[in-house]
Amino acid sequence: MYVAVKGGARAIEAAHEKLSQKRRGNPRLPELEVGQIKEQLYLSVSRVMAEASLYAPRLAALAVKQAAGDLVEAVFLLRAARGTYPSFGYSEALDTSKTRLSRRISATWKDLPGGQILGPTFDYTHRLLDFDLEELKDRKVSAGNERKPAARIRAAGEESVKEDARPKKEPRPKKRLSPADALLLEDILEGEEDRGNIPGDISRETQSFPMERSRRLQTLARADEGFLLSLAYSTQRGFGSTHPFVNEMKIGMAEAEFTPGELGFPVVVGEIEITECETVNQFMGAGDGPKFTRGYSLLLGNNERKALSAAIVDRSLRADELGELKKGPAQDQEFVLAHGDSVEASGFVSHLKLPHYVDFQAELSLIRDLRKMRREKKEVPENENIPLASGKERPAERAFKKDEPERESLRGAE
Amino acid sequence: MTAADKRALEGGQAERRRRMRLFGLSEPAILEDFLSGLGEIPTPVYLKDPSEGLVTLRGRMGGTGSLFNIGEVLVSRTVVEIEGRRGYGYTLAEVPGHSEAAALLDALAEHPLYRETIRRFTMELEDKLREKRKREAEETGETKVEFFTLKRGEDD
Repeated sequence: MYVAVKGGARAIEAAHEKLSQKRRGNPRLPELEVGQIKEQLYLSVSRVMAEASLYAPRLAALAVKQAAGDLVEAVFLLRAARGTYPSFGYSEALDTSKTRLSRRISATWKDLPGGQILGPTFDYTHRLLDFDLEELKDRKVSAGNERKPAARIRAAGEESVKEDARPKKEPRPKKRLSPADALLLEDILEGEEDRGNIPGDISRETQSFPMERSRRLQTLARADEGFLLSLAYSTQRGFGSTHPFVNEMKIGMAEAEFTPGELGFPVVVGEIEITECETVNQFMGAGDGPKFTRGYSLLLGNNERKALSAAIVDRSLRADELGELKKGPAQDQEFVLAHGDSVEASGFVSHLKLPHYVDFQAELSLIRDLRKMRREKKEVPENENIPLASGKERPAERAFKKDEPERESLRGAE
Repeated sequence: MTAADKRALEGGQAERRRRMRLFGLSEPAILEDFLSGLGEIPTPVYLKDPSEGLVTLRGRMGGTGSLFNIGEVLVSRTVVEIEGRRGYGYTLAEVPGHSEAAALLDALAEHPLYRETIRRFTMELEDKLREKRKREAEETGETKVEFFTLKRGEDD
């Protein structure tokens, strides 16, 4: 039970002032700009967007700054901001076969049609600290002149365009062959057809179990990366293994189309960065022979580790559907889906820091009564480590008395 | 709904989709520079002031299967009317003013005095977008690998 208390306003105000000083750090160093965070800490921004369930890089960067780099706190801030906007509606389904790729790899097919594109990756780096980064390399470059990182442009508008560019038709995005297509041709991979169901929306519905896959995938898309990573790892260590292979991992920009009510036809509102991962896993024996099964995830932003973890967990959560023996937490829907949201989890865990004085008083008086009853029956305490207080003031009471004003503020709180 | 509006919806739907996409995918500063280059334009009436809202993005399971919701994207919306011509702006809410510039351009594209200028401008935008994407694809292409497996000395 939690009972509200009053008081401490001045101290709280001072603490917030202290926080803003601490966040600013040494005033002799330049202050971080939101734009710098957005461009240079883009993986933090991506993680915050995915877990807050809001694609808004500028606001996510602001949240990272405000939270002084605490990403769980930043997710909380952005999720709260998300709650203040009205809903315009649902987008058309993203056509991820047309994603403009910045990265695409497959661990199953080395000769992937279209090739493997590494893109900017930490893979194959030596994980040695690069002390060159301690030096600012482009200090002298004026803000307007630096080369903009591909794919994340927010610019002053000057773009060098070749003069001879005659109006050509924009190259029609080609239909890329996916690794799944190859397996589907051979009929050794479970199909993935549009069954035409209206997807559930966890933003609007209360959580209930069993949860169908559309809501599971939405829940995984906003779940905490660390939680999903550990769950995925647990399956690899034997708590419900799914034998995953990374069939395809893609990061890139996709055009988001939305049909405004007043227009009645879909229009492209912009391009957003997405990460998509598909795993192929061991078999299900259907009527027409064994087939590979699949795990899938599609996330906002550039979140490769999370995408792979989520795809593995998606596959684990299909245990019931595929008639698998459940051997680990990652296969338990309620365990996974009810505990992965960092806003909910940190909210409920952190609330323990709030005053529970009245609560605790109740427990104190209960334990004292219990002990008094035992004493009166003259029983020897089972635990010798707890000394019997013989009429003396108890240590806990002494601690309370030191803080008399706080006790005052508690009166009547019950 | 005005007569011009109705015509636009029925006849110019493909054209409107094309230009709205280009306005959404282009740098807001380019749109704003172009607008200020037009000088004095007829006073727009704001039917919907620039405001932000959420569009829930949808994907398909496995890329081709049933729909599911991924999360929301913050979108900005403006609707204007310039001398009876409506203009709609729907863009990402990253840069303030983006949807407003898009809506003004969309309305002007329906206006006989400006139609041709805007048409030429959208062609320029299309070129710019193509160039930018080509450049980015080339940069990404530099990281394309061809993996090959080493012969391990076993007999075939």
